[in-house]
Amino acid sequence: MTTLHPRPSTPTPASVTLAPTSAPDWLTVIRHAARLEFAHLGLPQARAEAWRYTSVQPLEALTRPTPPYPDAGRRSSAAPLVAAWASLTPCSLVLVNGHFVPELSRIAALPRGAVAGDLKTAVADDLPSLKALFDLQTHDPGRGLTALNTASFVDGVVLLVPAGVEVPEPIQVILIQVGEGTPTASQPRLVLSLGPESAATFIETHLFATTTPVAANVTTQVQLADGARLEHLRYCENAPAALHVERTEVTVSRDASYASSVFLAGGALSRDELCVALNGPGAKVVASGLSLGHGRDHLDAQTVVEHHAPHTTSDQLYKAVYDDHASGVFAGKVVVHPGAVKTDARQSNRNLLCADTAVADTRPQLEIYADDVKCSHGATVGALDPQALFYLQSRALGLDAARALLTRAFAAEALARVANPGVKAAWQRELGRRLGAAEGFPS
Amino acid sequence: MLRIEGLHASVAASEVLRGVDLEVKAGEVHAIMGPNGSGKSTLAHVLAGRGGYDVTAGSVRYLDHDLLALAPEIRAREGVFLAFQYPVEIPGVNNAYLLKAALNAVRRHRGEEELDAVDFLASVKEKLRHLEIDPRFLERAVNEGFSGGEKKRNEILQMAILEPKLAILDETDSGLDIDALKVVAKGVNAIRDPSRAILLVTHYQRLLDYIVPDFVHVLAHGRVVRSGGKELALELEKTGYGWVGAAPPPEALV
Repeated sequence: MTTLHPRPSTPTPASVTLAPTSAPDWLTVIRHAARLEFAHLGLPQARAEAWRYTSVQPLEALTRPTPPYPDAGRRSSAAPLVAAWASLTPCSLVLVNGHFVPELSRIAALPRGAVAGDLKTAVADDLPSLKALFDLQTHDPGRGLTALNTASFVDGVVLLVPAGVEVPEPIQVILIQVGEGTPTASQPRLVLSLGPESAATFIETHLFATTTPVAANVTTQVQLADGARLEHLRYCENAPAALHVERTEVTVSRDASYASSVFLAGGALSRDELCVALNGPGAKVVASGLSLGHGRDHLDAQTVVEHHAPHTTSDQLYKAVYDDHASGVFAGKVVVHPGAVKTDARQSNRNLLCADTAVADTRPQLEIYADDVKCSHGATVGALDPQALFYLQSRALGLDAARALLTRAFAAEALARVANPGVKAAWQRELGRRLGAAEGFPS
Repeated sequence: MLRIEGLHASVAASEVLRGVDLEVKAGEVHAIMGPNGSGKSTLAHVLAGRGGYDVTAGSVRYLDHDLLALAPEIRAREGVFLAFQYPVEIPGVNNAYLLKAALNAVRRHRGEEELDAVDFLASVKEKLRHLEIDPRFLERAVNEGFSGGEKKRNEILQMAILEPKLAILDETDSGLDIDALKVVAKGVNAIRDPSRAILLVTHYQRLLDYIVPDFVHVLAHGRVVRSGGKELALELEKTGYGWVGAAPPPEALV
């Protein structure tokens, strides 16, 4: 639990960039309040339960100044990465060091009334639905970092889909970190709101074009109105000196469904926090995650699912493969609040350790305050099954090929939940490349 | 083809094989019978190269090789095939993928060209028909959720595709109904030819009604205690294994 006592030792965001000059008054007020809140809360402390298995010491980097708009050289160094991933979708919005870069972005025509664009412009236009999105209350224990982001974000992306509209093609935001001469921290803000009975697919691709230390504190807010459907896919590439922390807060209304998949493909410290509130009857979340850690990577996946209404469903499958000296965490909390009868909550976390020096910490938590619910959770940490290895060897596969095949099959189960075929194929390719799995492995 | 001499093997410091001698020539079918705990399955596993066994004495020659010096996958590529008593379930890897990967590993080893997906499927289809296996079988994960009969049929399918020189079947008949047993026997008889040898490890005589062996050996307490022709199996069916007596006192391990 985070306390509200002021902590003079905590770094304050003195260097926080001022709000966009054209910001509406309501936003100026919110950002000012966030700045004060961060001054009170500070960064997560080592004793915080949610940071038990991940060092908070590197988080200091998140209070560095936000980088300036990338110059031509930095924009062009981001271009090859954009090219590699933009082909996934007709619409890709590119943020370099937290700044929207129009020349690298490609905006396709959207159905009438739908908006996908940069946050700065949306704020300047003072789109009427924006204020409600920023009013969302964030919960402990991620408040400090969310407040920091609210106080400091320079730009981001907004996706607004009106009632009844289905956006046929996925919207992708490509977030690229390019090194600056001095250490900086970008604070991208992503805001998604889907109206009643609307549908969309939203992809985040986090990439790094640098080996110098960079840090990002991403805050994503998602609001799904009654009957809305969103698939939200997050890919985070490895970078040996990158600190990446993302917190996604989702509210799901009656009969709406939220599908989340996160692929942490490495990183010195990559953390994905997902907080989902199932607020209306029939609301549903399906969440999956895959973490692949090599070298000295540390990957951290945290989920909190709150069942507030009856007949709500949650289904989580998180898998991880750690090699070398890599380490990782899964902490998943499911809370069934009073009155949330007929809740169906499932959670599974499976970790594969490929080296004696790799470490996985898993922490499932179930809190049930309602009767007549169905809840299950399970967690495993282990190595490859020697019987399965021998079986494959006896079928002429070399030991390395057998290991690669079993490891890939283990990991692929998490990616099988991705519905968007283009992303699924791209992620499977990345998985194969990283695990060096046998050629021609079927999807 | 296979010459086993004075083979001793132990698992977790307990001696299971205590001097097995056996010679198998190309074109022959040998049945290894014996009571539970006699070392039949251990022998099959040691020949295929499973870890966890210590070979403390003896030798195994296979063709021109010191078989025990080869890694399990090299044995497989050189033509040794073990049909498992308990085939392992491998979620996330489909049958077609494993079969193709296995066949191409063998072909590479022999210096032959690898088969592409089209040629591979063409060569498999005939075998599926012969073994009365639904082609949809190929798309399922290896042994995952298979019935006992399906798992054994899958072993025979793998054998049919890999065309081993020495096929070792470890209690492939256990738990099979008569129809599944006939299919398994058909698969084994189909690969029977003068260039191959087959080692059938079985507890019951029943399988030998369908795969008629040239030789029958009785293994007890880690040794071959009797050898004979196919009539020995029928005799065992009548007399049972009571006559082999109790296990001798364990020998000191060196």
